[in-house]
Amino acid sequence: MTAWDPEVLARMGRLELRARSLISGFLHGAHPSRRIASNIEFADYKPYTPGDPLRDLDWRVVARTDRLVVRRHHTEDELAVTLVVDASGDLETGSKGRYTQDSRRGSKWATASVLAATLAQWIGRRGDPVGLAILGGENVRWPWLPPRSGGAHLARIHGVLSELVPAGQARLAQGLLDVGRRVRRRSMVVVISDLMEPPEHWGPALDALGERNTDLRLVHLHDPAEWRFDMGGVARFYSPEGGVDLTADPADVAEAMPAVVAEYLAEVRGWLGRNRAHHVLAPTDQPLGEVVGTLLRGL
Amino acid sequence: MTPVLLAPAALALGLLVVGPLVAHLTRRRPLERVPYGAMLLLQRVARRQRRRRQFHDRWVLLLRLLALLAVVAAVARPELHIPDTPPPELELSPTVIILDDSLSMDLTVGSLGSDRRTLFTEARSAAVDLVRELPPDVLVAAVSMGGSARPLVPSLTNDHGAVASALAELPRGDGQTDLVGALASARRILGGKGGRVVVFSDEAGPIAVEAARSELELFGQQNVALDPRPVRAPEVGNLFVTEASYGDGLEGGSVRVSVTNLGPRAIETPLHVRLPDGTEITAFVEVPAGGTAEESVTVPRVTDGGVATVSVEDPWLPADDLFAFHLPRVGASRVLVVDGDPGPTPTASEVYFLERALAPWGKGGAIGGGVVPQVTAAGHLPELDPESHRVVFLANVSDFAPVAPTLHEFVRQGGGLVISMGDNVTAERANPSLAGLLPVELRRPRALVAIGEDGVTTELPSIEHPLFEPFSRGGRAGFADIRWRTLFTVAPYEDVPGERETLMRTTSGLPLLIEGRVGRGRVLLFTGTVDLDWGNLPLQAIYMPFVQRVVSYLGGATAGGGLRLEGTVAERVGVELSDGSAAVEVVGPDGPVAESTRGDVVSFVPSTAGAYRVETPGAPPLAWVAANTSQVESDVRLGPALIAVAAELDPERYLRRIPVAPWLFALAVLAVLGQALLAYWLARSAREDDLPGEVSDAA
Repeated sequence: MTAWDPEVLARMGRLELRARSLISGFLHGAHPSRRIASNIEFADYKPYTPGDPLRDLDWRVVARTDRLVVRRHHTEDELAVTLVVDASGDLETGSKGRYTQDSRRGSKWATASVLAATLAQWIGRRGDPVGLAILGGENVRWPWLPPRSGGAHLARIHGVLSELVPAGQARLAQGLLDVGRRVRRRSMVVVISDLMEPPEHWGPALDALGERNTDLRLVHLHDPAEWRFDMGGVARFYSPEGGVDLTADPADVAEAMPAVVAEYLAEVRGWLGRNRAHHVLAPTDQPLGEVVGTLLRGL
Repeated sequence: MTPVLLAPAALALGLLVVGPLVAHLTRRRPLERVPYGAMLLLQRVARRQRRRRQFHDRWVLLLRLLALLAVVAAVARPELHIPDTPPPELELSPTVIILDDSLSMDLTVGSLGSDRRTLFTEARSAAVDLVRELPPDVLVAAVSMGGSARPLVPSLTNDHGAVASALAELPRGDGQTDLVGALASARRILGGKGGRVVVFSDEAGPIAVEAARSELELFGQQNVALDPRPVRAPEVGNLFVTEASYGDGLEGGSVRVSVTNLGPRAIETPLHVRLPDGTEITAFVEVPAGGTAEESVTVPRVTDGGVATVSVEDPWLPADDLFAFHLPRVGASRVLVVDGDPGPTPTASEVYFLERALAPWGKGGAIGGGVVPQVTAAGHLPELDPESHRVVFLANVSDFAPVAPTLHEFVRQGGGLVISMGDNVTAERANPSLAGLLPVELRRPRALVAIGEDGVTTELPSIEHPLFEPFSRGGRAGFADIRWRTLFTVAPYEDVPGERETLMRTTSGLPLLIEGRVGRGRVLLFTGTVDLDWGNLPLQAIYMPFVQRVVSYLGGATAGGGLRLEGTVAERVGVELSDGSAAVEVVGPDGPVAESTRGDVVSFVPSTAGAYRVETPGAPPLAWVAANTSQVESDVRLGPALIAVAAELDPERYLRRIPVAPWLFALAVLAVLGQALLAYWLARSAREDDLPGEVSDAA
């Protein structure tokens, strides 16, 4: 059963989810908006036009200049957040995770699901709408839950995450394109994935999100043991997502792996940089609170 | 050098190479399967290292295979067979020195100046040195092999000084290589008692050495050891004229020259054409390396007949730079037309159309030359010079008696005669006067059709006859358009091959053109007219090419004054004269040449390339001889080695056998060591470097 981490959630109470750009929503919330509305924070003046509320007339200016002007104020807006969670088969692997499940002890999925649930819980408590998109996986009741507020919606998100079994392929490119078409403009999208698909495949799909001016944050899950290829002795290695087996001697591969990882990360960051997305490396042996802190600060 | 296997069956062991191949391809694979969530990274590592790993694996495999193959080859006991000279103890046996003084030995070795060094000078020096270094009691003799081989010192002697002097005084000749004759001469000098024959030669050309096989077999039977001492030039090349010939046509006459370059680089050379009258024409020709180039040189409108020469400037082999070729008399008087019916106006002339067909541009045209007829009236026949006139047309001549003796002599010496009919011709006067010239007896003119009717058509001539062969490329059908209203009939006759032949007929079967041979010349009897009186021949498109062809056919290169013969330098030329009673002399490029006469045959040996005239003093030449050097000698490219041919015939004596097996075993050991070192290094570097383990697809 997936559950949010209460310890992390408590620490998150002191954090504030600050969008990196002005966003807009239907509900007023804690996030600055580029929409102009009546509020306490003055924005600018505009000439009076019939239909403007008379209470917005700045009488002092009228008295001084004999011109009818209206005060305008920034409105406070809600921030819709969509959590895109990779539930492909590769997430099932891993060995050093802090979050354990009976069936998937230490797997990347354990970390991914707890992180997603915790973020949903925190966002929901703040009154912001939160949505969920699942890429891959089995036993997925609703692969797409649009951003909404409310306890029932949160319970639905938790239900999806707890019932889901990682399997199959994420097909990131198609998934990101679909999310890009569905999310609101100027909303926030948090992708939680191991990104184990060639960056040149899914990278172009980020443009769909960039075009909608979303605040894209990407939590890059990985098992440090896998990236170091600390995998024991010679064996035939296979991906749960399918494909060919590779017979390898970890002692040999481990030496070559840092260079390959560096090259791979450079490619990932290149694609993310094109769309001003925020990349957060999330090794499974790192405390989740640190990952969330980095994520919410939007560094 | 020839590789030979003494135990070829051992090559079956080569199947052993399958072992390492199978082992290489069937390495054991671990069976445990482990899930791994970052296959993208592992694939990249594998891809990055796969090429390097395969490269090294292949080297190990290659070295292992090399080791096995070397062992297998060694077991097959390979040997290298290298042709080699006999052992040095033979130096004490009687020795015959053969020195090649043929034309090809003139190939330049050193500078081109006065101290020019050639293969011959090098070989001669080496031969003299060899003789001088022989132990005093060794018997020695010497033979030359240029032209016809001849002994320089005909019997074995221990007077080494005399032999060395004979060799040192031998000049280079322009003859062919007579290796067979020289070997036979040497063998005869040794008298069947065995000994050594040392051959100083360039061994050039494809023929000379191969032709000596039979003589080399006799060497083995008579225990004669061959000791070839080939001489080589640092750069082998030759620029020479391979062909030059004169040809004429409507555009005039020109000499077409082919020049061959056997050298390693293209050469642009001046081409000097020297005509019999002394006129020299220079052109330039660029000849590609190893190829042939052609150049045409236009000759003046009027040129004496005889033998012309063409020469090139050759940096390698100057001896064959001059090429002589026959040139017929070129000029306005080559065709004499005798008009038997001049008529009151030019167009009414019997030969009006004939003149236009022979010289359509007119006599004084800017592009004149070639066939320009000289026209004369009957009874005013000039003195016929076979060198000046090649063809005489008698057109509708009534009285042949005054000209018959001259014509007869003209044709007998090689001239061409065409007799065409007309109203002036009568059998009564023609038959007796031209007896011996006419191929058949004339009868009388006969009207073939009634007035107003179309004439009888002409049958298509056979293109197999040389006269009509050019029309096979087009125009033959034009003969069918010729129609005849009247023809001169002839007495019944039969064709006799080589003597009399009917070349054209009408479709009704009447003979139209009959060829007869008289002496060295030909007579064409045309039973029609060359104007429009009896037919429409002059109006047909075929008329001009037909008349032109008749002239070139009758006035070929063999026509004209004197015999035309080809000769080879240093080889005897025989000239058969019709009248051997007169005293003749032979004059070559450098003056009179010694000749010998036996019966009607005068023979002489050309000493150099050029024109040779056989003549009676004060009279036109009886024969022209264009003498050239042998083009076999001009091919200075290396041919088969003499020692290689000798080794083929007598391997026991001339083959040195080198066993290769020890070297192959050593190679196998090195390969084994090499693959072991490489495998060890791979195993180490796989740990130290970023080499992955074996990467392979699994089912």
